[in-house]
Amino acid sequence: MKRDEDYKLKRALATWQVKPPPIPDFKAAVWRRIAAEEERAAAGISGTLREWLFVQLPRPAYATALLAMAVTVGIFAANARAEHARAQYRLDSARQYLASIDPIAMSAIASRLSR
Amino acid sequence: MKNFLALLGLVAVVGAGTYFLCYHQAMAPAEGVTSEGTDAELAWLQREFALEAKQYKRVVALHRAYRPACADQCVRYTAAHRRLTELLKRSARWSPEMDAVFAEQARVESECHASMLKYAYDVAACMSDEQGRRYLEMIKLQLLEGDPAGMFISSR
Repeated sequence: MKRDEDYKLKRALATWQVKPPPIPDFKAAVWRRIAAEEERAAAGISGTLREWLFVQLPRPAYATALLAMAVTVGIFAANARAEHARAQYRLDSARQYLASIDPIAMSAIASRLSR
Repeated sequence: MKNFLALLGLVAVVGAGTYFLCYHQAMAPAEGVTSEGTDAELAWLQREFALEAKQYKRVVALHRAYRPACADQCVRYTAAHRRLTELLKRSARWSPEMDAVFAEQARVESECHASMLKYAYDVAACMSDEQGRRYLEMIKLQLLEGDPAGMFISSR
């Protein structure tokens, strides 16, 4: 009994054919949709960026973070420059001291100045 | 847009203000050079080698005692060097006078180095062991390499 039903079902499935009506202008419609999607995505990034810069960033939370970052960068940059300037100052002072106790260095400086 | 520009301006002002404040704060100890009645290089020596008041007083006394002898040697060395320079300019060939002038310059130079080293060892003896070692290191760099840069700026 069951075998009979299976056989009928198989025959029915074998004869069954789907013939959807062709959609006019299908390919062009697909390309139009892709182009529209790309355009929307591009406008989305710049729009989001503008919105973030001009609306979100000036809000207190982001603005405070940005100011804190400016302070941190200022401190690091000043310390880096001061460290270099201090090393140079120490070297210049050492040279000045050595020139005051080294007769040959003193003589070289005097002859440079007299030229 | 207006808020954004105002924020940018504020960030620039705060960043630059922090930079200048911190820079001047960090450089303040280096800028105060002279102390009462002493030379700037001695004030630096006091700071660089962490001299206590008593040590500094002895160093200043040594320095003042050495300065006239140092100036005298400078004059003698300059004279010997000038003689040698003039002789080299006017002589076309070797002469026994050249030998004498070379020897005189070398003798004065050697005396200069010897008296400078003696002064340096006396000064180092006024300092703590560690600072005295650093001080002599600086003197040796000056004598051997002609410049103490290697001690103060390691990346050079």
